[in-house]
Amino acid sequence: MTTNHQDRVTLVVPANPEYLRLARLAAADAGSRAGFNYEEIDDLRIGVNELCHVLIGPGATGTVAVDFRAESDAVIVEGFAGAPGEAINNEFAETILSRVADEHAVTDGDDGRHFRMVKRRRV
Amino acid sequence: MGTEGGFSIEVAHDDDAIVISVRGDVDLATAPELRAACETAIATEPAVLRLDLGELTFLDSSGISVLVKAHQDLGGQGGSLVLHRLDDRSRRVLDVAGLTDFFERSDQPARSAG
Repeated sequence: MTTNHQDRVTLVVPANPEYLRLARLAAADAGSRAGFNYEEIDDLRIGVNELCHVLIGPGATGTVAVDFRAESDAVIVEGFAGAPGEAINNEFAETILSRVADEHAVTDGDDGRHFRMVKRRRV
Repeated sequence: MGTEGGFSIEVAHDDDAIVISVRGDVDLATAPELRAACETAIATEPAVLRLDLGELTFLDSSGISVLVKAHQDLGGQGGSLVLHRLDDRSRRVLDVAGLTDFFERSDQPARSAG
């Protein structure tokens, strides 16, 4: 499978949990384009889904943007919401993320909340 | 689009057990519906609550929280929770959540479990 370093998809959806399925679909597609195996694609789907939770807490409004970049050996996902609502505290989310993502981070800025996740292909 | 993924819950009574069959994705959008169904079932104090997950297509941390809460609530009243027909993908999500051996599981369909 060939991959293109410009292989990039940005998904913009309402800040509503009902659109999480689209984020998971886009994650699976990005993983496939990066040459991930079945388990790696599943990790990517699970991780993106959990990180999107931080962008669609109670009271969230507007839209969520999730950017997927498929590279030769990794998928880099960056999410952003300008009005993410209250943080959702789930005791299992961090445990899951620590096991399915190679890197992940959530940051709050003046413009809203950002997340970044890196999932690398096993050699 | 909440139901486009085919999420549905079916509740049945089977002797002293209540069976909840789940179809589709359990995520932040649909977990509240599963939580409500579990709470309604647990309020009747069944000996066993059987969740048939044979048609489950995705499970995230919000769904896992529902399962853990149901397990704890049932245990507190002398009942038990059994997860039926978990596929490899759902088993793996429980594994990465650190819950490999937390739940009683069965590979049999819930309705014939007796």
